Amino acid sequence: MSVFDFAGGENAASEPAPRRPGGRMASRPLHFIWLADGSGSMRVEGKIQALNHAIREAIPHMRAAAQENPHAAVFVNAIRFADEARWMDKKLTPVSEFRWNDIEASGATALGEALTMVGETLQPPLMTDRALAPVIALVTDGLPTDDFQAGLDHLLSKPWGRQALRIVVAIGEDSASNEAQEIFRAFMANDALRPFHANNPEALAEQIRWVSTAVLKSVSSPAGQVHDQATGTTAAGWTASLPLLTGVDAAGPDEADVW
Amino acid sequence: MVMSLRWTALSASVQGASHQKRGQGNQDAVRLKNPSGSDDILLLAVADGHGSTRSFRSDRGAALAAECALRELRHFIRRLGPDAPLSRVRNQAKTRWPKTLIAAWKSAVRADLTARPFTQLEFAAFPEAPPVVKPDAELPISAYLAYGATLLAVAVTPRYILYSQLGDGDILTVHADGVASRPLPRRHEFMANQTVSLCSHYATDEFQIRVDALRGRVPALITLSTDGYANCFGDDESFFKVGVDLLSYLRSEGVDFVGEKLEEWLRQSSHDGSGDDITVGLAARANALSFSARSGTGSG
Repeated sequence: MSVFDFAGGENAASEPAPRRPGGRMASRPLHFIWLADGSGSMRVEGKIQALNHAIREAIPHMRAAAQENPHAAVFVNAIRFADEARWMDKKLTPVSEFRWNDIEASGATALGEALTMVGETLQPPLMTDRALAPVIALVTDGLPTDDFQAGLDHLLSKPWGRQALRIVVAIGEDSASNEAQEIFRAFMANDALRPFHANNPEALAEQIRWVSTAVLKSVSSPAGQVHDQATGTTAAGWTASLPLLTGVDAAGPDEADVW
Repeated sequence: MVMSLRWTALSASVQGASHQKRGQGNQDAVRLKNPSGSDDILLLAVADGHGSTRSFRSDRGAALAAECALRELRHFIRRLGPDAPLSRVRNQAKTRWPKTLIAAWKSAVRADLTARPFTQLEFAAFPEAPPVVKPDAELPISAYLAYGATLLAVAVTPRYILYSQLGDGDILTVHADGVASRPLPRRHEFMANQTVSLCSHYATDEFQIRVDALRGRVPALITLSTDGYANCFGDDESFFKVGVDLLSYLRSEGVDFVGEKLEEWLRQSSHDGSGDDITVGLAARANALSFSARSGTGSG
């Protein structure tokens, strides 16, 4: 039994004008983490420049979306993964202060390490009972080169890792391969979700902006979800509040495709 | 010694500030019954409808839950009789009460569905056809999910207090000396708006039940609230202060004043805090409300 003793506290009965009962109010924290592929293959055809541009341009939209819901406090950070995974900022930063530092492309694709780092971060004391489900947005053009499964297992072994809405923005033709799709499905672990697919800079910018705004808005105003495997609404219950995610599929080839 | 049973119940329920923006109605429900000369049991039930796309009738489900809880809890206590040993009350509360309540709620959902069958439009977004009520056939889980709700219920009898909780939400007790606590432990697995509820497969196993004798250290105030209230506050301590402040106002300003102000306070809290629907039911022990400002303690 948890107990707090307020006898003789600041709101003693002798106060003349009753104010709203209760102590300090606070918005519910919502943590948004970009996983950005900085591997060598992202150097080809200007993919890394397009990624940097798309996320940088999306940040103001993200701020605007966050401002529309004062009941959620949005915090953002990013991990660049290449030969190794590294946080962009030292900690999750309020979206109003978050700045995207352009990343460079070189080396391998240590996605498994990045997932392990996210799993380590999404734990108490950062994550409290009242936090909203975190969002983990993976932007990548291909296959991991390290032990992806070990990283995913680690992330999903953490309650908040399982609760997170995990979405994928896949770049270019290579990311449409069966092997890549299998990786993405394992990461999202939600049959109702599909990866977003971008074959050119404009499409990438559009997908990133959508993830930064519509997804953010939806996650910041969640409805109650039944925690029951048998009902089919487990953590995947996000399908209930994110209907737009369920019908999105990879676009067919387009003349504008460059990747 | 058995305490003199003079309890008063109050309630208020407000639509969430963010729900108002989205045009979504209040999905909570509350029902109460004050003790009277002929019936000396106080009953209080608060239900929180899921409000998700899949739970599109959860306002109805919550109302049915609160109504079933009041009716069935009263029958349950009457059937046990006024002199049942507390050990028997506890045992029956843990084994029989969850089954009784779930059966009653499912029956109420079934009756509601019979009167108002699902429409094609209500199921337009889902792959399956709308479930139909058939004689002697159990409804599929999707039918109950449409009505899904959590439930908090409390009964105060002349001899004991029965606390019952299924899913998220909070029951607090506040004692005359200003100590607030949860009679039922918080379940930390309910995170990110995930919860068990009346429509969960093994709902009867998910109930939290407690029965306390009405002697010795008896609460001055019991509050039941949907999770939208606790989610307004930065930490448990700030939320527990709600109970302490309410007791303080009941003592200094009176029951009628708190009854009048409660809705306004909840509206303000939803606006400044979680944005969610907020519903509160409270039961105050009358002989603990007389307050001595000098000593800082109430009687009882």
